[in-house]
Amino acid sequence: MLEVRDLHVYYGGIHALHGISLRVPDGQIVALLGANGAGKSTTLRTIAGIVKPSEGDVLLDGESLIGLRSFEVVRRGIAMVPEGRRVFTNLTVLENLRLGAYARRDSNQVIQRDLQEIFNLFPRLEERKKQSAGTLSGGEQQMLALGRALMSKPRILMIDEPSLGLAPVLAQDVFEKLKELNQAGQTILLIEQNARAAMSIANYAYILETGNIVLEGPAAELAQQDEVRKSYLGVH
Amino acid sequence: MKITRNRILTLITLVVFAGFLAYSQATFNPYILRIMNLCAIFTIFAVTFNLVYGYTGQFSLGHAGFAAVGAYTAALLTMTPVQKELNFFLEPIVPVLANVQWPFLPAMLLGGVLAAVVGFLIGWPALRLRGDYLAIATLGFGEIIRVLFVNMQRVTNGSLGLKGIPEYTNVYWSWGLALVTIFVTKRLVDSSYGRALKAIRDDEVAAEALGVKLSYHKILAFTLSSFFVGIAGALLANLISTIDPKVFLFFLTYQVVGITVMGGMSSLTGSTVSACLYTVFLEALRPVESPFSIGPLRVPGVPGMRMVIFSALLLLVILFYRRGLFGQAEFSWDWFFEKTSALRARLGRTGKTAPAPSIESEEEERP
Repeated sequence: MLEVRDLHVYYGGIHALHGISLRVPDGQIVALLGANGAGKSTTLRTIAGIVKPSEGDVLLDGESLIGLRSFEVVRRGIAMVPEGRRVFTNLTVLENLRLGAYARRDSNQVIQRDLQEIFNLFPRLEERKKQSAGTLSGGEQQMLALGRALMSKPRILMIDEPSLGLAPVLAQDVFEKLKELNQAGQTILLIEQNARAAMSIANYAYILETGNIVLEGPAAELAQQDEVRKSYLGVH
Repeated sequence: MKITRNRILTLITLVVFAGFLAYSQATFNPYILRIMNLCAIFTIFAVTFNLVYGYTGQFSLGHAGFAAVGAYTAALLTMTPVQKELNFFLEPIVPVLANVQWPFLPAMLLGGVLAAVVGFLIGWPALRLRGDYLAIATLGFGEIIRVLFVNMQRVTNGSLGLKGIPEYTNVYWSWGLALVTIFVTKRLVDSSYGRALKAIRDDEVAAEALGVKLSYHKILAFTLSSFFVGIAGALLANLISTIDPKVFLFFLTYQVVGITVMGGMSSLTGSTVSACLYTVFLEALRPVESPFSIGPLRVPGVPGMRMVIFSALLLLVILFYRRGLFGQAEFSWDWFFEKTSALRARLGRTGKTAPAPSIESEEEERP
């Protein structure tokens, strides 16, 4: 289980996170929702070790991750799919996926088997494995970014705005894949602006506003609350 | 099947190439041999620059400085004690170096190692910088090395330079080491380390998020590159037999950058071909620096005229082949057979109407 306790983050003089606490239990999808600038990405980047918090703790199974560099955090089993996908456009699809397994010490055979699993999950990637990643469509790149993160065999998969810049149909595909992965046992922490789509697959959700958690609860219950429906789901 | 075929072809090419080297060393005049040696040395410079910039994306301009370290180390270790005494007439040489005289190989290797040590010491802090800032920092360090060499009178003989360095470098040494450099670099960039280097080039943040240790990989590429630059510097010193700090001005680095860009980023074939073309062209263009006349127009000899022409050529390459002559492509046998069979097919078609012209296939001396 991943646990975040009372996290404070400053960017220069700006207080970006005012004491965030959240829990991501094993086997669940937890969604972190909120508008632009609410602090969703900052939370993710802090967990990944890219941003240093001034206060608070991040615990993976009770062990603190604070102070670890981001490559060390990956080795502990937390993988991040960064916002905007950030695939390596000059490398081939296969090279991108192999890089996902970079932090692992497994034999080539085991990695080949995992590679095949990714190809079964995303057949499109296998068709294009020799192509450079820059030639893929946005949806395919998102699948590649997802596959690349999965190649590190993460305990916890963190995804930043998977629907960003994707046509609604493709975004729907991505969410279905996430649901599929979760049913196979993958723990997921999801950040999304598209609250409706995120809540449809999440077990539990937190809503952030200007660096504070203002609401939390099981996703299905949260989606029924008037306040949430008005502010985040666009229903009057 | 294909792999064994390619291996055999590579082996044959290497044997033919070795034969060619033996033939040229025995029969060619020293002028041609000098050009061949310079081709190999610039190949090493270009390939190593490609490793740091083309594959790892770190724009470093310290080549001249590292070459100087290798060149001076090898020169001081291979010169005879008598020569050293003749050279150091202003101030005597430091006693440690006065009486040593090593064979070429260990002297050259130590030159490479010292260049690598200097590369590591500079790369460690400097590689935290990105883009232009790294370029400025490494450029500065390169100049610092040169200025140090000007002022360390008792070690380097300052601006007087060193004369009478034994001319050990021949085409076996230079091309042998160029092939080793290409081989090592190729193996590195095709390994999982190489994938990590390319990932750093494409997107540092994403690479780190995947568990790639940025500083480690950057320093690895940088240090390895400085090692081979040091070796190339040693080859250069023992080729031209006279070095002084002016040989290692920023101009040397500029040439290396030009060659590599012209050949294509992340193409070792490109670096090799481009280094040879550059060296040969520069020699071929020598006549333009002496007075000549075009019809009634008299052109006086202008030293440096060939650099003007070279710059214009470089501009043309950048305008029309934006990714260099080879882009990211590498020579391989599969590619070779694909091209030649395509060419044969095309010639076969046109051959019905006109006699087929002879196929001129380009000789490629790399595996």
